[in-house]
Amino acid sequence: MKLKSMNIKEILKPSFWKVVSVIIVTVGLFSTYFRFSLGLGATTNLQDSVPWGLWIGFDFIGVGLAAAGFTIAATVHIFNIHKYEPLVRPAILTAFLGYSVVVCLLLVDLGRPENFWHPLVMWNIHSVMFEITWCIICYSTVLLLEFAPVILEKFNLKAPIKFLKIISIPVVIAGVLFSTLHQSSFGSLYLIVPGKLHPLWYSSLLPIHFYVSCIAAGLSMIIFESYLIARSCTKEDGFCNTGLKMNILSGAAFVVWIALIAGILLKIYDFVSNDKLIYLIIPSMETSLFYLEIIIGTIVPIYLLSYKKFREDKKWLYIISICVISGLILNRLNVSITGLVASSGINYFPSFDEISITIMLVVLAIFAFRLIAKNFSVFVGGESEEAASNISAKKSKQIILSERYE
Amino acid sequence: MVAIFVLTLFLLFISVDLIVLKIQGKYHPAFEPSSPQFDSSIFDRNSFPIPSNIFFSKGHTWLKMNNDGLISIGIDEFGMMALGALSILNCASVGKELRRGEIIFEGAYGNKKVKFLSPINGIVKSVNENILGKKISNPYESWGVQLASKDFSDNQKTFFSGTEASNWIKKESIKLKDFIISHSLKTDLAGATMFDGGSLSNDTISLLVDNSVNDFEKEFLSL
Repeated sequence: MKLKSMNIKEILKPSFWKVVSVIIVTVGLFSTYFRFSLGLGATTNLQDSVPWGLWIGFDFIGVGLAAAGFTIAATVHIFNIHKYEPLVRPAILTAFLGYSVVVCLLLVDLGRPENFWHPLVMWNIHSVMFEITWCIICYSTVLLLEFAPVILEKFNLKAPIKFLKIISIPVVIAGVLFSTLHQSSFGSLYLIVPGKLHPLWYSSLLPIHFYVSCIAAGLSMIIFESYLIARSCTKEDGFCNTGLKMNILSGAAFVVWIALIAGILLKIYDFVSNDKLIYLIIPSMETSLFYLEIIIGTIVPIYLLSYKKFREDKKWLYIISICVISGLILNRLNVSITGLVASSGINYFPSFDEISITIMLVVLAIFAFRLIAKNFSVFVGGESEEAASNISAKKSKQIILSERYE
Repeated sequence: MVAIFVLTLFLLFISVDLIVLKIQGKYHPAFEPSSPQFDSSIFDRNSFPIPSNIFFSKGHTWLKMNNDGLISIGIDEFGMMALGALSILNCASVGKELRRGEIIFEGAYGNKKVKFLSPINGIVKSVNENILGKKISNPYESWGVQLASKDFSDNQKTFFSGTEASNWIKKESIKLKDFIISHSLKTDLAGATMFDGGSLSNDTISLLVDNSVNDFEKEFLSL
């Protein structure tokens, strides 16, 4: 099937970001080759005392930012708040691509990647890693099932769409369960290192904190992405083409605000109840990074989101989403790297290959998101998801009409 | 330090993107001039070329002060293409003393007539008959009427120019989208397709309800 938007001439037309992306991907591919041919020891700065580095940190970031997939799906399909229906597809696509990046990074990070299937048949039910592995596999499958109708619509395959609609509610519920389990179990993973993780981040509430913070960051990621796709469509269309209206984004921002407040209250309770306030006044790099994380990712967004005029303003909403995402990036890297490196006594900084592979995967995910969003009905402006296929048909007709007018 | 490095990289990419857009003369969706309802333009182009020495009136006529002191007046690009292809039927006759708000041009969209109003007081000194009944490719080169006017500078603050004019025309094009949807014979179709941008057809007016030209005059051509 010929996709109208996949114009070869348009794809090959050079632009600043295309050139930068090609360079990043080329360098990344070389680094990937070196990683698999020379091994982890030769290409990364990981050591026995710091076995988890940038890639694990990015796994946490990727999964955290993908959290809107289950949040929005549950809001719309389980709680029946259909106002947010236009966010379902971009959220699920984001989640799917986020998890794909995570899976790729895990494969690169495994010392023996050819053994990736072992947890599927060699069960160790007492391991947190076992639960995480199974949840990621199951949730990725669920996301694929949730997003499949978008692909099938394009090719007008009605029978499988009908089947997927029948099983949609159990699939959404399963997705919410899996993601709830492993978003929090990422936090649980660090409960086994009380002596190693810095007290500023170590807490018995870490699983709950991970869960709450991923809701705020996941929704912020959807807001950020709606700008990203609008930016990529600016030339021929405009912001409105994404189908995401400011009132919907503002509504999502309000939920971000609630989640951020819940997160900071949880943190305050943790610090007070565990007598950890003393650590806030000990001058160290960890303390500075903790303050940076809290100020950028929590205090500033809470303040801005408390005003309706900021929540409903395009510019401020964009800035707020960047702040919340930055907060999650800092938090997950602080937990997985900053908070552990101090106790290891080694100053870890990722190698060039670690950095280039990570950036390459992020660039590929952005490219995939843009390609899919432009060629499939991801951003539907209608009131219901069911109307998407009709809108898709209308869009096709509109393309023909435009040609005639031109 | 890894956290700082990754955060810096993330913010660096965002900053570079904003700089690249600025160099290309485009707006990032977050920072483009906002409109209360819809943010995309109806036309394929994001901007209209605005000559630096030209002023725009709210009634979609443009004004230019000539070296000989006469004011050239024409219809702006938006006015020319708003409801399809406009053809100018009549201009105010030479020697006529025009008051601000009186009819200066009479045009036609299909078989519907539309009136453009004089943005200033003045006496008509000459009329460009070459534009009558023809398709105008460059509206800012093709003046319609030249006026001798004493109150151009008094009214200047009511006109738009430069970036202000560019933003105003963009807002007008967004307003036009709303107008076309509300006056369309097939509201659902217009509503669904309008969100995707695109160009207007030459006979848009034929797809609109009967009173659309009168309403267009009230909404877009009044001063």
